[in-house]
Amino acid sequence: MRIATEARSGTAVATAATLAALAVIPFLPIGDRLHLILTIGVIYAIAAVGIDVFSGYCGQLTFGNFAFMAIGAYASAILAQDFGWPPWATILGSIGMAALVGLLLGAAAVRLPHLGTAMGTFFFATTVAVALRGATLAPLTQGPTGLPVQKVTIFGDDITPQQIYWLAWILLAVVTVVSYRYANSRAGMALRLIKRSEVVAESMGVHVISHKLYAFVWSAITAGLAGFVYAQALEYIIPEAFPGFESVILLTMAIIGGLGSIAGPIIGAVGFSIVGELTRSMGDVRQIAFALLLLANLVFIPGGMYSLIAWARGALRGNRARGDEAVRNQLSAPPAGPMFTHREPRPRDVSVAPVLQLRDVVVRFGGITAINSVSLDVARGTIHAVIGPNGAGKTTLLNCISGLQPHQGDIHFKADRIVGLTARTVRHRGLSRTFQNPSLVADLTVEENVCMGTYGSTPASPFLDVLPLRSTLRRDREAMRLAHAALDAVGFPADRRGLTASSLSLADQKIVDIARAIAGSPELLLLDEPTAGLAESEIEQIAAVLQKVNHEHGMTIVVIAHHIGFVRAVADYVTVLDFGTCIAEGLPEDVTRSKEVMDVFLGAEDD
Amino acid sequence: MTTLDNCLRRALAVLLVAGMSAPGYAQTSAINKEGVGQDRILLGTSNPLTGPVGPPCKPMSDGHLAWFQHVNDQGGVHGRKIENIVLDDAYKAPEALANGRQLAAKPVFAFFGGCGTLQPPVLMPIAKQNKMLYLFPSAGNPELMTTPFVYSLFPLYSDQNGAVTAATMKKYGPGKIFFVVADVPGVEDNIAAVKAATEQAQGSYVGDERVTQREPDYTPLALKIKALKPDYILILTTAAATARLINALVAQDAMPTKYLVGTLTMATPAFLNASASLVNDKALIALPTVPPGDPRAKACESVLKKYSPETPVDPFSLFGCAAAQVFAAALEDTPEPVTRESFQKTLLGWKEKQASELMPGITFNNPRHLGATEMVLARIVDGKSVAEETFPLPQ
Repeated sequence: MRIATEARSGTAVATAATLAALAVIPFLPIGDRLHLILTIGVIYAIAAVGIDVFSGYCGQLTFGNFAFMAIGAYASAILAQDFGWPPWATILGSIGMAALVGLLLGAAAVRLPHLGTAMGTFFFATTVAVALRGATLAPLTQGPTGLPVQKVTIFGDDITPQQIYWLAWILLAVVTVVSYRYANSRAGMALRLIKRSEVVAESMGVHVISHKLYAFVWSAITAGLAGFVYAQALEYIIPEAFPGFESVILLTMAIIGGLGSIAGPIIGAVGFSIVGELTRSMGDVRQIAFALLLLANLVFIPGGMYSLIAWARGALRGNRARGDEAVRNQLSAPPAGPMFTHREPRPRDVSVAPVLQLRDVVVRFGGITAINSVSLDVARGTIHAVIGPNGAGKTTLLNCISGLQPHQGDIHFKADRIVGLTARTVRHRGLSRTFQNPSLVADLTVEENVCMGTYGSTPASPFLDVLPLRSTLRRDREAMRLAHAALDAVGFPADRRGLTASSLSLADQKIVDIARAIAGSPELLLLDEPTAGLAESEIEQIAAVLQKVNHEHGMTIVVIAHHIGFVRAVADYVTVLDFGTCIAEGLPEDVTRSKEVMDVFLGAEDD
Repeated sequence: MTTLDNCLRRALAVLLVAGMSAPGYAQTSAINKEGVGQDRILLGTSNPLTGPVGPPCKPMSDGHLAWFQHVNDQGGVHGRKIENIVLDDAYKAPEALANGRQLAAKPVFAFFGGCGTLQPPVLMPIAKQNKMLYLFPSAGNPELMTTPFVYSLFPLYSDQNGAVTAATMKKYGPGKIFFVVADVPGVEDNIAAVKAATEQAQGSYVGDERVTQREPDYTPLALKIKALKPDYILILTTAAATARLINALVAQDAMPTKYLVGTLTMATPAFLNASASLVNDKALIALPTVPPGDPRAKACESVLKKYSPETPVDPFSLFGCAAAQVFAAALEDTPEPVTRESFQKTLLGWKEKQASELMPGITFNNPRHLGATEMVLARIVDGKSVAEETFPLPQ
């Protein structure tokens, strides 16, 4: 299960404003009690921002991050008391221990499918809550009795409650800046692609497990850091201060604030604490009122409190959603040209080795043979169409080639055997693909989406991505240049490249998807039904794009299609599948007019 | 009117209502920096009134408030009324911390009462920083016994368990004992105390089981106990967990040959309603006060009925009432000017002081400042706990 809320770019102003507000509020006459509540809210916010990277941007659920706060708090107290570390130095212990445990837990948890990560982290939180009370760790944690916390000193004096607020604020600012950089770096884009679809991300060369793990460890680090300050605020820590359910509260804070915005979880954490305080006098009704308030928030403001800010900003600017701009652009776009610019298929040069070669590929799902001993050769520089009715095995065949589907038989790409390679490795070898559904990251712009197409061909490190290093900036500029080149290649208008993907029509999304697939300059492009769901004029548009990419850039293309007219227009060679078996192959005109193929396609679209 | 205006108006209204309903809003006379005024003295309590432990803990502070109201209605103590500010912490550390700081800033004369192991670690540093007293918390936290400004009426569970084991075996004969103990502070001390008491009584300690408060199933434990055939099973966990354990013991025919022995939680209405019929005349309870229904509890019961009719008369509300009685008695014995120091002198000067009808004589002059010297041994009969005798606590 993944979180499907929007992840946002360009939240710097709101984030900075939120931090600035938190820097001003303590100077207002709010009283010591509200000051402390605010401090606790800011401490929770440190952890909530980390959760935002993992949940808001990567789309994974974690119900265990308060346990990392406990680990950070206990690590700090134990290192100071039992090992004589100076209190300030224990901050490294808090971070280090949370990171280590996060790494060990995450290495297993992020591999679990569906609700696995959520369940794994939830059980982890429960385990930590029990372990803190138990006898096993009692020599360190003192079990239920708890531990005193050695206070850090500032200019020789113990830190005061007011100074703890500023310590929390500074750490929140640091975590926020790093998280913002992370979310908006190449690594952050990869997280957003993972959130959209792990399969697509892997096919585009993103190491999904690693990126999920990095994000999880970062969330653990921020929680460990929060735990350090929390311990300083409490002065004495006991297991009761770290109940397992508090992890759910922490995630709830991030959600009601607005996941995928960095500023939202800060607002959520602080707001949650303050509302909790303001409703304190309601007694038992408070719990119910609070729950109803949260429910109302989730139902009526599903994007969280941050979405209200975004709405207000839009209203103040008098702008409508960017999607309207897209509609205007579409309406002003030139009308579609004549149907299908036919061209003569290029003859196959048998003296040149095929760029892709399949031999006796077989896929069985239980007792069903989905692909039955299919062999085909794709000549370099051609457009090779694979056609067939629904259920013929076309997509399964593409999945075999791109490393997503285990199979029998041999597949060679550029003479290298690619059987058993992961989708990511196949992508790195120079083979790129699209999916039937465009799988663009809806909340990224067109150019940002296409940039991700370069991820399979250039190295990167999430740690370095966060830093504004010259090499990183240069790499990102190059990625953007390649993205624009790819968009040029598919003829996507320059003035619409700043639009978010969600504001595009399906046809445009498919064109952008193709641009993303070619941005990394692959040698072979696999397109899974790029015409599915499109109107005739849009299919013509796609055909023109493929011809342009193939002719002008010499890219070899394997395309799955149902539309016979489209196939005749673009393909140099056609393979026909039916029930997983290759029933015909040859030139488009010959194949599509054969009786056997016509029988298979009876009832399907024809020109 | 715009939505923003509405929001602002509502926010202001909420703030106004919250401010006016805040404790201490009423116009009253000045207090000094120790929380003592000419006609009043302030006490501060952080207690879980809501949340998971609200049901057993709220009656305790209700008991304080009822007795103080009774005292105040009779003119207070030496003309000084006792104002007990009770703040809800919902059993959450940050809220207990905020309560503690708010109360210290008033300032209050002392932190008073409170229920559960969460508050003491949070409140003790605040009390220390502000040179305050921390009076009569109800928690099984060993730190309370080693902190000089803390005065307790509630013995550590290790003391209670050791003492009740000794008392039970003395009265009903030595035998085999099995100990079911929750993960409370000082688990090891509890086990050691029970082992030592058993050995001293020439009984046999046949084993123990540490349980969490959320054990999914007690059947395996019941079967383990059944195999050991103990004469006594000593139980230290929550009322709900105890009820579930007893259900499993009965279902597996694993009840002890002599008695189930437990603490305060086994005298709560929640437990008695659920399990009294299963343990009729088979359960002994160690109580810090006499049980509800005892003639000595009559004054507190009538005060609770008058001033806090919705509060159940149970061991928690009675203990709260008793603690308030002890405070009022100490205030009465403290000469003017009433200071934290003079108040401590009064407490330390007591010897077997009969400060509350509900409790045996009180003596604080010991290294642990534990006032209770004895506890009450009660038996569950016909759905009620009935006092049998008192037994001494280790000093």
